Amino acid sequence: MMGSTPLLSVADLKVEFVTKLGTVKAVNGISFGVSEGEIVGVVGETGCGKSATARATIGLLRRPGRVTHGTIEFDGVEVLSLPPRDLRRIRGSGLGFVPQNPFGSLNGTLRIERQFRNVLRAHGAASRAEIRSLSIKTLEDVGISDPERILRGYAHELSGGMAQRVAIALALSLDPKLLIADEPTTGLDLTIQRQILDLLHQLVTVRGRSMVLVSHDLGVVAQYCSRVLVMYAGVIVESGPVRDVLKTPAHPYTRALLAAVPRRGKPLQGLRGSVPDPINYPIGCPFYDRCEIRADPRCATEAPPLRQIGPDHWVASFYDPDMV
Amino acid sequence: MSNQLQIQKILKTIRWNKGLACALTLLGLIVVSSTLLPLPHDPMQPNPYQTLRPPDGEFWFGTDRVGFDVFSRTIRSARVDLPVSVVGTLVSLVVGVTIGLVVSVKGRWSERIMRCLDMFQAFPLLVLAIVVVALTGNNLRNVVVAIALVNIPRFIRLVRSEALALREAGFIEAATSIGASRVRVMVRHLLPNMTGVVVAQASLAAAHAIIVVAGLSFLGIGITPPQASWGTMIRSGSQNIATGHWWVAVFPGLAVFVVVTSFNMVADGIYRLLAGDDQ
Amino acid sequence: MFVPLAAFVVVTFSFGLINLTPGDPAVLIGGDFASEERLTQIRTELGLDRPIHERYGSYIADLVIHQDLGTSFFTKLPVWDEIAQRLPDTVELIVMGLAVALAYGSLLGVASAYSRFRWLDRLSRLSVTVTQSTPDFLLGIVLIYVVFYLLGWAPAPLGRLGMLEQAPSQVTGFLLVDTVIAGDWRLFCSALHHSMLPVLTLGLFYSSHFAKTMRAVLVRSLESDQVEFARACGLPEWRVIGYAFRDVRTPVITYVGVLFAALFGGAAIVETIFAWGGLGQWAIEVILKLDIPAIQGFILVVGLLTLIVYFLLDIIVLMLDPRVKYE
Repeated sequence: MMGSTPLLSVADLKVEFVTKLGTVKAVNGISFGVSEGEIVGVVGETGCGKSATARATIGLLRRPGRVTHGTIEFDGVEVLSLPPRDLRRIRGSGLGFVPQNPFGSLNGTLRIERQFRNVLRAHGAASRAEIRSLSIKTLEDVGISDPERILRGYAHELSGGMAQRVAIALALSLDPKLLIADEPTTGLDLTIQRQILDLLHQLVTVRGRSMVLVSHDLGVVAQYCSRVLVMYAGVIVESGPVRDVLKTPAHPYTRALLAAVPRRGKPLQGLRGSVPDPINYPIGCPFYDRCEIRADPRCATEAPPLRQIGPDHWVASFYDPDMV
Repeated sequence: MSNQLQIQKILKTIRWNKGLACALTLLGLIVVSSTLLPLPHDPMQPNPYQTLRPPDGEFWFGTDRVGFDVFSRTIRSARVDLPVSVVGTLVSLVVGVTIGLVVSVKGRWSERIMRCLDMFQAFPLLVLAIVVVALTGNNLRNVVVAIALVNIPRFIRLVRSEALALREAGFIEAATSIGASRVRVMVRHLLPNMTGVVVAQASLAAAHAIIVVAGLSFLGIGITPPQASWGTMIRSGSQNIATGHWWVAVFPGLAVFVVVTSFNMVADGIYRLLAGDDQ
Repeated sequence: MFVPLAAFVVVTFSFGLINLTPGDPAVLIGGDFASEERLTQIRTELGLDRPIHERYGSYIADLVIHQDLGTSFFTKLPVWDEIAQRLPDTVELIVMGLAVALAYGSLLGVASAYSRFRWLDRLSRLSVTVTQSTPDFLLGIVLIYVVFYLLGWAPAPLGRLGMLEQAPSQVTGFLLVDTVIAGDWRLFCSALHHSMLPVLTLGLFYSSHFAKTMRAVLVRSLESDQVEFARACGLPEWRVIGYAFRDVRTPVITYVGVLFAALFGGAAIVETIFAWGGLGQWAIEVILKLDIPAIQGFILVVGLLTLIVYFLLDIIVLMLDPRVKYE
């Protein structure tokens, strides 16, 4: 663990969605931290709670989601109990958000420069010249070669990749300490995805900022993150430095995920079964149904707690690969 | 699905759609009471000694200027208002759906027809209805025709857009590729998948039709006194309202309100059922 | 382009509607007991004895060259004059009524979208149901009863001004504007007072659609990615709501335009109840009397006005929403 206090520290977070069919427990008590200069990847299948976690951090949980338990501390401030006005001040300047769908997220009826102006004005920038130069600089930083033209135009005139760059520019315009990127490349072409991820990586590391990158793609996480959190059914099942987790995965789920990555010469390996019902979680380990290993009799009846198996490497499983 | 689960599903639908059940019951009640139930007083026979009496034990809704029992007459009016609106709506449904299906085939003609429709809708339809009836004769049948004409465009639009959307789905292509004729495709594939929205729209059209019919008879077009209809009752009642005899106009108005709301609720219920099915 | 063609179609349609519908207008006007002589007289006067293409031709010629819409059969006044005299009144009613409908409907819609299933939402949805299911004339009558008879807040529904009041000299033709120009404050207030109920009737009746549209669009808008990202960038809540509202503009403006056009004739019943003296009221009178030239002129004028309104609407929507491209 890094010596300094973490920039973001989440403790025992629980998020629920109250629906007509029942209460969905999206996040079931997770704790983690993000230090300065770190890029933490959160990986897992759809519905594992990774999105809810990321959004809860910035206070953007979609209806009908609510945080029911836990604390989120960012830069010394307890985010969940902030009055709306203070929360809004942190957003953009402290916590940045890179959206999933740039076309849906950018305002379609305002010119780009107007949108920059709104954001910068909301955080205290005053003069038009100041705003303009800052907008141009941020757009250049995200790799747009003719920022003036883009500023004068509208969102729908841009290609997918450009639009996402503009969204990133907006998110970065106030130089936030922590970026939250929730699947920022969904819907983009593969080559563009690469470019955007490279861009994000570069921007964050050059400025010494932190990022929480949520993805369902293990490969993405492997390449761009320094630390990874593997989530399953609303809990963290494994966490640690990327190299350690990928080289020596301890949790059966992580192992299965790695094995499922297509490789030449090997037949495709999938995971059997499906995610447990988020309204009625079974007792015991949430992965039990799909687990090929089931090392311990306690697996069916007790939810395994997180235990440390290496420097900064934690796993929530009764299975010990070294004991085999 | 097991029988128990099926019953549970039906009960849940009914409970969810209380509005739908309620609305249908109300409509049924009105139909029954206007045709079968005996009425306390003869709706066509005025009692000249009991004019403008407020609602009381004998005349539940009071009496009007001529001595008619407002209650009986209100119920009896349903015999005119409801069939006229419903028949008019059904006619426009049949014609509109047919045209809509035909027009849904992509082509120059369909574009032209839709353009014509756009221009047709440029005219104030209520006034058109009035013109039609006035020019062709002031009788009930022409009111039905006018209602039908006025409502045809909405069915054409609906059916056309549904058909176009359905055609995008693969199964139409599949049907034509195995040699189904165009008509067959329309009738056996497109139509059944539209019944929900079409019925809902028909309900809405009926609701609108009742208002139009009431409006026409209010103006004295198509349905004239002494025929009992809600519009004519409201008209005669409107003359009394400035002197404070509110019941003559309000009760038939309430009847219109109840029926129209019921039709709207039916449409609403159908839409919710359709949305629920997708879950 | 499209507009002149449409205008031509409108003219032809209005001609066709009157002249091609089955039924003999002469009989309808003269009545069942009219003598043959009388019928012939009517026919000649209406020009029904000439072949149809000749009638059509002269109609178009009169229209285009002389701007002549014919003469009213019953009043013997030019149809154009009759319409021009009453059109401004109707326009005033429509403008005021729509303003109320928009304001009230928006209020309901926004309240509904914001409070979502709490009592405010239920209350506004109740209002929507009531106004939606009540015919406009009934609403007018009930309002007369409650506001005039019971409460005495509104004047008797006898027209735009009191019985003994004189209209100001006509400058624009719009009563409210003319009273202001004439500097007659009392008359202005009286005109406003008299318009209270009819405007309220129209406003309440048409508010339901605005309320529903607002609610539907806003609810979706407030959950949208756009609003989410705006919040994420730290924009103040009022600006975020402004973003949400941008989605609402096009449907609302479109509907305002459509209603505006529809109300030229659609306000007829309300005009009749309140003796407003507008176009629709006149239209009903002439239709019931079967004043053929007048009816024809009415349909034509309203059709053309509707076309103009739709055309303007297209332009406005185009200007407002940069995403709409003109094909």
